[in-house]
Parts: sequence; structure tokens; C-alpha cells
Amino acid sequence: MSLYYYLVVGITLGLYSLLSLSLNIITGYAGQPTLGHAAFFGIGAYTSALLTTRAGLNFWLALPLSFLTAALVGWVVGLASLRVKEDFLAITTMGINFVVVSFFLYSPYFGGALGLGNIPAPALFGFSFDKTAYFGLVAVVTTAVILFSRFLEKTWMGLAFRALRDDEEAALANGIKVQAFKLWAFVLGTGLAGLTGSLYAHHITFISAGDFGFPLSITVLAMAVFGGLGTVEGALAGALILGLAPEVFRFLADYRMLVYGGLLVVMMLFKPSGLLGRTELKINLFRRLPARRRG
Amino acid sequence: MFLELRGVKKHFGGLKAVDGVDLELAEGQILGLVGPNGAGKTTLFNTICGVYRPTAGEIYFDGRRISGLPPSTVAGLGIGRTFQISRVFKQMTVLENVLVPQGLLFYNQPWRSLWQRPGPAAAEKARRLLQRVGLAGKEGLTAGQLSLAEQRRLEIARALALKPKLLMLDEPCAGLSQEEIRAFVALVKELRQEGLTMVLIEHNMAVAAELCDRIVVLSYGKKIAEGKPEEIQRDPAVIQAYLGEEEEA
Repeated sequence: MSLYYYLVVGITLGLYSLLSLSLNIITGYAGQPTLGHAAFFGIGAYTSALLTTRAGLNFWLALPLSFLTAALVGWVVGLASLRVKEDFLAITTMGINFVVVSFFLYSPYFGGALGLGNIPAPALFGFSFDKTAYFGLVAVVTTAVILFSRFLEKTWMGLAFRALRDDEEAALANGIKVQAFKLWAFVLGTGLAGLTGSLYAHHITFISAGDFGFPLSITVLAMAVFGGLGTVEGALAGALILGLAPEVFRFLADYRMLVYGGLLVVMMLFKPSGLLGRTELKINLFRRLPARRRG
Repeated sequence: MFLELRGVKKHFGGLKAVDGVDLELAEGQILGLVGPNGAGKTTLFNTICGVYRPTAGEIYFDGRRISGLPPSTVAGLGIGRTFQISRVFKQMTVLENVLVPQGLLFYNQPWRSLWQRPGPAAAEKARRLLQRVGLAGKEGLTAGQLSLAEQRRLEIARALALKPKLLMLDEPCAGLSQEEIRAFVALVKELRQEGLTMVLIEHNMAVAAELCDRIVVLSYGKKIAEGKPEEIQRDPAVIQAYLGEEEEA
């Protein structure tokens, strides 16, 4: 296998890690399930693609702007959807994913079904990034987000996130404005997903609506849950293991997705808190039914 | 008055959980709320803490009207509370549980809370409070691992970390052993000596009588008696509410 192959796999793993880490802020730290993370990844990718191809903006400006755009949409969507909790929030965010994808697909401005192409590779001082340099860029951004997550865990905001995840009513009684902090988690997580989208667009150079569909949201959630929600190591381990699995199991040809799926099922049966995690994903849909019967 | 309720009502549809309660509490005193199951004690409690907005009536605390304010604001004004069913932050460590309320200043400015973190002073304060409620040495455990009695004590430490002017305890003795109850009574007495004002929901009459300066008895959402513990225990209306009416032969 060529070096090029390894670099592309490396970049892909970096992007998965970034998605998993950003989801970890919303679902791991703040405990808000989301099934629509890919939508914000897509918003970032489209923002960056449009800004560079249509507006002629430079990648280094488009990158932070895709963070801001995704975060802004995350804020608006958060305002509307954080009124619901748990299973209902999961389903609302799933709906948002479908809406955003349709928006990209049916709006001619976004290239419709043809998508957007010719997205330029970033350049710095006249040097155009090849895959080696791009891998370096993704590695730097991933490291920065890892450090940010670690920092966030220790701040008052990180403490507030985990408190409201464990018990909203008790968080309120301790002076935490639960809605405001949920919104912050949403803004940070969706913004970072948008930033990752920009990195993806300039890596792959051609994007279309299908890249940002619901299956990707599920994949990213599976990574964070598999590795262990609420920890940086967990988010990374999940992204690396599940990101690599399809490559490693390539020799199994048609059966590789079977093995991949089996891995997930076994994990959730024997260690529901994930490989390195302390936090379980709490969706109460099934638990609530018998509880209601008891009165 | 430090805490004053005027005609507070809380109705859920047709259910009048709290139906026109007046209450007064002076600074430094302990008020007991007692009454049979379903009397509306916890609902009244939650209405004071801002969990529920009163259907009618007004609540004043320390010279401010607090009825209608959200619970996070009420906490910020200095009302700390514990819950009837333990609500510790289960997946956080014991120490972190007591750190949380110390971030009060930052929770009003989320932007700053993103850059500031609890310092050694906050951790030291948390350790002192944990020691005080008898949880020294358990700082590193996950709160969910603690026994029920320990979780209740952790909730008290957490409420105290808020530096409350008023501490509200909802059935703090439920499910505790005799020995644990004695430890709790001693702690509350200590806090009273330091001048902390408290409201206590208590089923155990002996405990309520020992701790409270004044007791208010609720039944079906209404105040049926109020007075010193010894007066309350003799009050025929109270005995009737608890034991039912004597049947005529």
C-alpha cells in the first residue's frame, strides 16, 4: 500500500476523531443525545466550499467561518429543540438532519444532487497543501481539540455540563441555568462539527448532500458510545477503532460490515458504558413504559 | 420577616396541592413542616424553591419577592436545598459534587465559566464541608457509590457549599437508621448555633420536636395548625389529621 493510502486513512481517522470529540461535548459531557450531528458537519463543509469557490475566500478564513456558521445554526436549532428532552430530543435532532440534507439536495444554490466540486486545497505562502501537509494540518487541529476538551472538563462550564447531565433538577437547585448551558454545549459541539466539515471539504474537494446523511450521525454516535461517552480517550478510541475496522476487516470482503456490527452489539451487551467510559447513554424510551404502568 | 408566604396556592388542574398557605419565618429559626402523606409539604417546598410557580399568592425572602423566579435564581439568592429522593450528581466524584455550587458567580456568565476553573481554595472548602458532614476520605469516590445515608449527607454538604442564608431540607431522615438520625440531629443543631435559618420537612415527630422552633402542620394543602412543638403535639386538629376522627359508637 502506498504512502498516499496511509495518509488518506490517517486524515479520515482524524476527521472521525474530531466528529467524535465534538459529539462528546454535547452527548458525553452535557448528556444531550443527538442523532443529527452530521447535519452540522455538512453545514461547515458547504459553508467552506461556497466561501472558497463562489466568494473566492481563502481557506484560512473559511475555516473559522464554518465553525461560526455551524455554531449559529446549532444555536438556533438548540433554542427550538432543547425544550424537549432525552428520546424526544434524539428524534428532533434526527429530523433536523433530514431537513438539512434535503435543503442541500433540493436547493440549486447548493449544487443540488450534483453537489459542489473543485474545492481548492488550502495554500500557505504560495505552498499548496499536498496530502502530507494536509495530514499535518488535521493532526494539529485534532490535537488542539483534544487539549480544548481536556481544558473544558476542568472548567466551571465543564462542571455545569456534567452536573446537568446527571440531574437537571439538582443542577437548577445549585444555581446552574440549565437551558443556557445546554445551549452552550450545543454551540460548542456543532461549531466544532462545522470546523471538521470544512477540513473534510478541502480534503475530498467534492461534496454532495449524501455525505452528511443520518447514517453518518449514527456512525459518529456509535464511535463516541463505543469508546466511552464523557471522556476524551473514549471519544478517540471509538473513532480510531471503528474508523479503522472497515480497513482492517477489508480481507473479509462482504462480511466486514457483519463483523463491524457484531462488535457494536457485543460491546453494548457486555460494557454499556463503552470501552473507556464512565457514562452511559441514557435514552429512556423503553424504561419509561413500565415505570408509567407502576403509576 | 426573613421568609414570608402570603396566601400561596399551587393547583395542578383540579388538585389543590397547596391551597392558600401563610407562613412566616424569622432569621436564625428552624421551621418544621409536618403533615400526613399527600398534605402538600413537598409541593410547598418546591414552590418556595422556584421549581413551581405559585398559582396564586406571593413569597418574600430576605426583603425580595421570589415567587415566580426560576430555581437557579432562587438558589443564587441564597436558598440551598436537599431533595426527598437523593439527587446527588451520581457520575461525578464526591468532591466534584461539592465544587459545583461554588461556581454560582460563573453560572450567571457562561462565557467566563468557559475559561475559569475551580481553584485550590474551592477544593479546600469542599474538603472542609465533607469533613463536617462526616464524608472525609470519600472525596474520590463516585457519588453513586455512596450509601443512602452518605448521599443525604453529601446533599447537605453540597447545599452548604452554596453559602445559603436559608437551608431547606426535605425529609432528610427518611430511610436512615437511629444512629444516622442522631448524627443528623447533631449536625442541624450545630448549624443552628451558627445562625443558619432552616426549613425542615419531617415525618418523625420526635426529630421535628427536638429541632424546630416552630412547626406548621399541613393537611390537604391547608395549614391546620401552627405553634411550638409541644403545642402542636396536643392539638386536636393535628391528631385528627394524623389518626382520623374518632367514630361515634
